[in-house]
Order: sequence, then structure tokens, then C-alpha cells
Amino acid sequence: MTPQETARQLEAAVSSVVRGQTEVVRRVLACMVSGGHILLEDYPGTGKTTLAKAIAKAIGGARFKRVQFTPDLLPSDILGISVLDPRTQEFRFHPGPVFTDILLADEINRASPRTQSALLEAMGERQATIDGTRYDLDGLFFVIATQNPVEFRGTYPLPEAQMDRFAMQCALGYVSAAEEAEILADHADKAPVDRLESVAEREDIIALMEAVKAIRFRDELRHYAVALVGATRGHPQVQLAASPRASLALMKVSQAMALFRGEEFVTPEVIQLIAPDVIAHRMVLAPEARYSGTSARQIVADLLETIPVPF
Amino acid sequence: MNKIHPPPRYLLGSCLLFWGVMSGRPWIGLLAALIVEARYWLRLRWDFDDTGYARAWQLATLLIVVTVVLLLIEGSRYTVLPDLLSWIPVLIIPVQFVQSYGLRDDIPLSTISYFARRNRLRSERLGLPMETRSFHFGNVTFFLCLLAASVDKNVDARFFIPGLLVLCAWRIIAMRRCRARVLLPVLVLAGMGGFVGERGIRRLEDILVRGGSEGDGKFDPTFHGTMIGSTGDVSLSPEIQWRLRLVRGTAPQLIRTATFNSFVGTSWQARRSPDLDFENLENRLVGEDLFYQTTRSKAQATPTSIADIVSMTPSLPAYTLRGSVSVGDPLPLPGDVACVSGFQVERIEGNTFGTIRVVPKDPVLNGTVFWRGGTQPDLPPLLREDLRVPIGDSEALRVLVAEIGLSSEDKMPVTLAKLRTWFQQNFQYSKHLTIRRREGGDKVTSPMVRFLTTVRSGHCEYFATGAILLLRQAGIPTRYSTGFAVAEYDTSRKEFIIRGTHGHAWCRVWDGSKWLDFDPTPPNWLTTDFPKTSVWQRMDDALTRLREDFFLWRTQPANQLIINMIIGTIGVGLAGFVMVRLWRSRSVISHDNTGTMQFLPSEKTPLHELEPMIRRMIGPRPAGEPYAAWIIRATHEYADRPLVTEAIDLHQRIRFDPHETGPGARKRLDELAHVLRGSL
Repeated sequence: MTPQETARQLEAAVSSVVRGQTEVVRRVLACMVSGGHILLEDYPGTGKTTLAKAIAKAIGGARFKRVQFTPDLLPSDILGISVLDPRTQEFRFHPGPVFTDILLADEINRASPRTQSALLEAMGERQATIDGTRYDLDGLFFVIATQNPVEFRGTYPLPEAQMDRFAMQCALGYVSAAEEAEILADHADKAPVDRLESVAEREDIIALMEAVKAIRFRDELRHYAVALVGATRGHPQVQLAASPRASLALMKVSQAMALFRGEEFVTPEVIQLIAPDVIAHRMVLAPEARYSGTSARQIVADLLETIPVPF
Repeated sequence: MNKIHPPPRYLLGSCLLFWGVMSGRPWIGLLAALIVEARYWLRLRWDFDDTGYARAWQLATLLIVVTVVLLLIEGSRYTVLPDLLSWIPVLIIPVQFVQSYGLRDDIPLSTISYFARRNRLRSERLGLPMETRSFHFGNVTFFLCLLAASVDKNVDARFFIPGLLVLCAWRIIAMRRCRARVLLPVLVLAGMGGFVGERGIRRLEDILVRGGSEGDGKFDPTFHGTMIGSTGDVSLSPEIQWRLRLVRGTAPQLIRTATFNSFVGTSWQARRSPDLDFENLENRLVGEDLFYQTTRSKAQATPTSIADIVSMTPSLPAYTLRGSVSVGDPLPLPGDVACVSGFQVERIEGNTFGTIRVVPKDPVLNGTVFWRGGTQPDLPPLLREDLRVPIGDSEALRVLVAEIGLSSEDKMPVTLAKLRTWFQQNFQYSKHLTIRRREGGDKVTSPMVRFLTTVRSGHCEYFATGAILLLRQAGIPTRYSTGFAVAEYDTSRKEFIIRGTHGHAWCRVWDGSKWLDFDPTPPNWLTTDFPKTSVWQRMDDALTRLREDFFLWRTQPANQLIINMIIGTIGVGLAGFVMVRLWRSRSVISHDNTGTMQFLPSEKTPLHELEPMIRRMIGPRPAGEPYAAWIIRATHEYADRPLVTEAIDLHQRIRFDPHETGPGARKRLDELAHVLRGSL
């Protein structure tokens, strides 16, 4: 199976479960194969968990773990813990949910910053250091974190460093009435995610991740991506601008996106398509911009309009 | 939304140039055209936000307001609208500038509409969805340029109509609806509209100027149409025409603007032999004081030399005269004026009837008049003309002369007293005129005879003309004078005020050695003639005074320097402020490395060659819009979708994946681009 076919089948499989979200499904999958992590910010019941489950189910042999973040969750609840074995008188490591292929970190902003930052190393370095021992998270390690945009009480906003670790931030949004009716029909006898057969093996996905790196990316587009991210620095409405990690993510995700679109090279359209998802969540707005009702996405959209695009 | 296309390249520049040539301001037109069209040669652009557009509009509004004020100060208030219209292409340049050099395609409607702006703010506050309406200001400029070219006084219809037609045709062809069926009627309409508009506006201006201030319009020293024979009410403008302040002695009762000698039909005319035309009086000036000695020595029984007048002036009664004048207007002077001094004029001339007219240097005149020097500007009577009465009226006049007992043998004061008494006892002053020019029946009598015999009610023109005819019939040379009665005294300002309503007519009678002013109108005319001064009138008076005084203040050399400095400072300051703001807003963009960084295509594809053509169709490509999306936007009405898709696909391939694309792709794209070019 060629990488393009894998991509197409994977997308079709997940879309058959998560109805009416084709565009977001493609973005989430592109984020996964680009090696990044995604933050889904949306209301309860819009299908975040189903999406994560469906992706796990569609990939044969992929492990799936889910952590419900609560204020009393401890770092060891995520990473794992070494326990003294009374028979051998030795500490034995019990790996936490982070040792998986797909991790759904539900309502991530409800855990304390200490616990949230336990994910930092894992997300950034694909490794976990527990009691001085380093454990590699090899292969596919994809974090889908969710947070509820309307909750304020008992939540801890994600630190900027953690936000920067997410390659993308998306919203699912509500589907149309017709699509919602279809969802009801799908659930008539059995949840569709339970019916889903795997369409690719874990190794196929790793091959797909290799294929993404081969998607051609012209030099001038590289300059364009840098100009786009660079324009947030020194922007009067931005207090904390996007880092070079953002340009890197912009390049990788646009390569993955091109692959899912069936293209062998990246065009400026693809960069413009994903730029708000990749750049906006990393920025902190200046207070005056925040209070005047400007959003980070709006600033990115404005930059997309004004920064000359290679043509 | 059905959008109107922006004007094509160079049309606006041509329009501005057309306006400049038509209105006699070619250099201003050229400069404006260069400002508007330079956008096609310059890469300079500004990212104006809504506030920027609103500021441009406010600047244009400010310019318009200032222009209106200046026009009001400079010229007649009745031509403000046409004058303003003829300047409007320059005044709206700020808005056209943001349209031309802004990054947006269109200007939001909220820029110019207060209501749209308020609506938008409300929607923003309530979080309502809103539709932003926008328009291309180039179309407005195009229309206003043509309108401005048509209203100007100097416009020559021979060049205006063809120019208008060419520009309209250009505009229509650029809209790509060039079908003869549409083009022809539109052009015919445009031509007719231009012609009618041009004539109509000039006619309107005439009506406004003439109708608004009677007698203040074009002054004709040879012809004075009276209201004799027409019915209705006599109405005169209550506006202040002149102000008169005493220097020495008393004020004259009547001040004359013109004198006529021939009554033809119902109008008075000045008939004279050719050698007695207007003569420049400047050669009579004495010293550097600009003494215009208006006296004609020939008129004197005992000639007074200029030297005599100069030596006499310090003791003569005198008053200062101040008022607005235009070219060729007469000066209102007493019948026995000695000399005038201090009027800033290009030219002053007088005719043999004593009418003095001027070509002023400034719109407001101020000077001193000396009188009662025993001198007169009129020459002695021309006996043939100054004794003539209409042949049809002479019979009736003879009867009346006999009835009153007028005779040239009597002493002049006796004759005049008899006539005055006769008028006062038998006649009534009325501004409501009832005498028709032609009355029914076969017995045709002239309006004047009917006034003198049966109706015996009328206004000053009837009285003056009637008295002249009677005196002439009695063998006394008499002429008709028009001018003003000096009647209204402003105690607070210590000056006499001459309004349009003080306009008067009387006789000038030759007593054998000099001309005498004789006013046969019953003296109560002044009491019946005065409308009450309304608040509006008082305000108008104050404005007139303010304007005139400001003008005189302005014309003094020292003040002129101050004014030039103030205007210069404000102008330079405003221009500098705008420039600095523009420069700063430009530098903000370059600071972000977005304004200066240009991605010129490293790999040109045949589709790039369509760019100038598409730019003409849908305007320039916004900096942030990918070329493919721009092409799709331009071809969204184009039927052959697969062709466009294939072309764009190949373009992207050649452009962003050149090493993996074979030479066949470029060849194929060449063909596709050719097809597209032909069909767009």
C-alpha cells in the first residue's frame, strides 16, 4: 500500500465514524503523521473522544489510552510509578498511560500545572524521565488533548510553554442538522466506532510519517512560512509572538496536509489553510488587543492577507 | 452582489486632465492625474484600516468646508454650489488617494456614511452578523470629474461634448459590455445630459445671480429695463449693497449709479453720439493720492480746474463708501460729485451722462467721495434727445402740461414745485403695479399715459418717467437717473446703509447752467417700501459687514503678509501632518518585514503572462492572495472549468515543483494560457 493510499483509507475510515467533520479529521490526521500533537478546544459532546478512538481503532495494533484530567491528578498518574516489590525487595516500574500510541488527554486544563507539565517532556522529546531513568516513547506517540472553552472555575490555563508543544489547535464545532440526523441513524444498533475495522497497521503509519518528509517544499515557501511567523514578532497587538517551533510545525504540518490532499509538493494555499491552526494558539495578545476584542486567529488572518505570498 | 467594475487604468487620470483643461486649470488637473495614476508605476502602498479611510473622508470634508467658506468670502453666495462643484475633483483627492494606494479593493461604505458607521458599531457591540458594504471610489471620482468639467463657466461646448462622449465610451467598453445596442443610447444620453447639464447649470447660475440680488447682476450703462407696463409687486433685495460713513458735512439724499436719456417702449437707454463714450478717468489723477477727478470741465459754465478741486477738497463735504463690486459695476455717487479718492481699482471710467464705472482690484471697494464742489460729471444736454417724448403720448402730455401750468419760461424752482405738488396731490405711491402694457379695446394708450391720466398709482419708475415726459413736453431737458436713496442710518455704527430696497429712480433736470436732482416720487415711498428687518436679515447684514471688513483688512499689504503666513503655515502644517502620518503608517508595514519583502516568482509560468489582463479585469491581486486563487476569482464566470483547473494545476506544478515537472507541462500550459487569454 502506498503512503497516499494509506492516507486516503485512514481518512475515509475515520470520517465514516466522525460525521460531517471531514476537514478537521484531515487536519488531525495530518497533525499526527507530521509527528505533532493536537489540542482540540470544543464543547462537550462534539465528538472529540470519538475522533481519538476512531483513529486508534483504524490503526491496527495501535494502543489507545485515555486520561481524564482532574485537579487531583498527579504526575505519576500519567507517567507511571516505581513500586517496591516485597518479594524481590526491588523497585518495579509500572508504566503510566503515557506509554501508548494515541493518548487522549481529556479536559487537560482541569489538572494542576504540575501535572500538565509532566506531559511537557513527553510531548516535546518523545521520552519520559521517571526517578532518574529515561524511557523512550518510540514509534507513534500522538497526544490529542481537549479542553472546554467555556469553563473557567477549577481550571488551570495551559502554560505558554505547553501550548507551544501542540503543533495545532482546532475546533470541531457543531455539525449540521442533516449530519446530526445521520449520526443518530449510525447509532441505531451499535456505536459506529465499535464497528470500525482497522485499515492500516501501526507500521504503515510510521511509513506514512517517513513519506511526509519526502513531500517537496520549495525554498521560497520556506521564506514565506518564516515571514508569516516572523510578522507576529514586533506586531503591536502581540505580547508573546510565535517561536521558530511554530515555523517548523508550519512546514511539517503543511507537508502532511499536502500528502492528505494527494499532492506531492506544498503550495502556498496549503500553508495559508493551516496557518491559523498552527500559529494562533502560540501567541499571547497585548492587553489592549485582548480587550478590544481582537483574537489571535484574526491577527493571523490579517497577516495572511497582507504578507506577500509567492505567486 | 452585483458590483460595478472599477474604472480602467488611465481613465481617471484622463478624466482629471479633461477637467483641468475644461476648467482652465490644466496644471492642477495634471498633478491630480499624476497622483491618481502613479499607483500603476509605484510599489508604494498603505494598509489603511477603517479609521484610515474615515480620516481621508474627513480630510476631504474639511477641504470642502474650507473651500465653501473661501468661496463665500470671495464671491457671490449664489454661485457657491457651481463654484464648489468645479473644484470638487481636487477636494476629493484624499479619498481617491486611499482608494488608489490602499491595499483593499474597495472602500467600506461606513467610511462616508455616518449611519452605516453607527450601524456597524451597533452590530459590533451586540455581536450581530453584519454585511460590510463597500464600493469603488474611482467611479465616484469619474462621475464628479465629468460633472465638474460641465459646470465650469469657461467650458467650451465644442470640446466638452466630444470629450465627454469619448470618456463615457471608454468607461463602457472597459465594463466589457461593449455592444452597439447598449453603447449607442448610453452615449447619446450622456451627450444630451452633458449638454443640458452644462447649459442648465449656467442658466441656474444666471437666475440665482440676477434673481437673487436685483440690479447687482450685470450692469449695463446703456440700457435700463423698467417695470413700467408689467403687473405684480415690485420686489427688491434687502441685502446691504453699500455702506456710507460721513467724514464731513451731511449725507447726500440721492446717490446715482447711472443716467439715461432715451425712453423707448418701456425701457430707458443711454443714446449718445459716438465720440461721447466711456472714457478712462485715470489720466485725471493727481499726485499719488489716486484722486480721480470726475468733473468734466466742459460741463461747467465757469470751468473748475483740477488744481482748484485739489485745493478745495479739504473743505468739501465728504463720505466714505464701502461695498462689494464686480467688474464694470457703477459707483453710486452724488450728482455733484467733486472727486473720489482712495478706491483700489484697476480702471475707472465715466461717460458723458455722469455714470462712473470701475474695474476693481479686490471684490470689496473702499474710498472717499467729495462732493458739492460746484462740479458735475455730466455734460450739458443733447437737445434733440433730452427733449424727446414718445410721439403717441405727446397729445395727452400737452393737455397735462397745460393743466399743471408747466412752462419753460418760469423759474426752475417754481416749475419743479408745481410738478411736485401736482404729483403729491393727485398720485399715490404703490409697489403693487396694475398697469398692463396693452389694455383691451381699440384705443391704444401707452402705460405712461394711463399712469398720468387715469391710474395715478405706481412706483418710482412711473413717477420719474412721468415727470421727465411732462418736463420735456414743457421744453425742459430732463434725464432719467437710477441709484439709491440714502435713508437708513445705523446709529450704533454711525453709518448709512444702502440696501437693494433703497434702489430708486428720479429725474435730472437741466436748469440752463447745471443739472439738478429732482425726485417727483411722494416722499412717503420710503416708509411704505421698507420691509421689517427679520432676524435672518440682521444675521445676513452682520455677515456682509464681516466679510467686507475682513476683505479690506486683508487687502492692506501688512495684513496680506500675515494672512499669507497664516494660510501658508496652516496649509504646510496640514500637508506635513498628513505626509508624516502616511510615512509612519508605511514604515509600520516595512518594520514587520511585510511591506518591503516581495516574492518575485523565481519560476515564471505562461499563466503569469495573463496577469496584466486579469488586473485590468478585477483589479490588482492583493498581496496575500495566492496567484491560483486570484485566477479562479477572475474566471469564476468562465464556463470551461476543467480547462481552468488543469491550467492552475500545471501552474502550481511548474511553479512549486519544477524539478519533478517535465518540459511537456510547460508546453501544455502555454496552450491553455493561450485559450484562456482568447476567451477572457
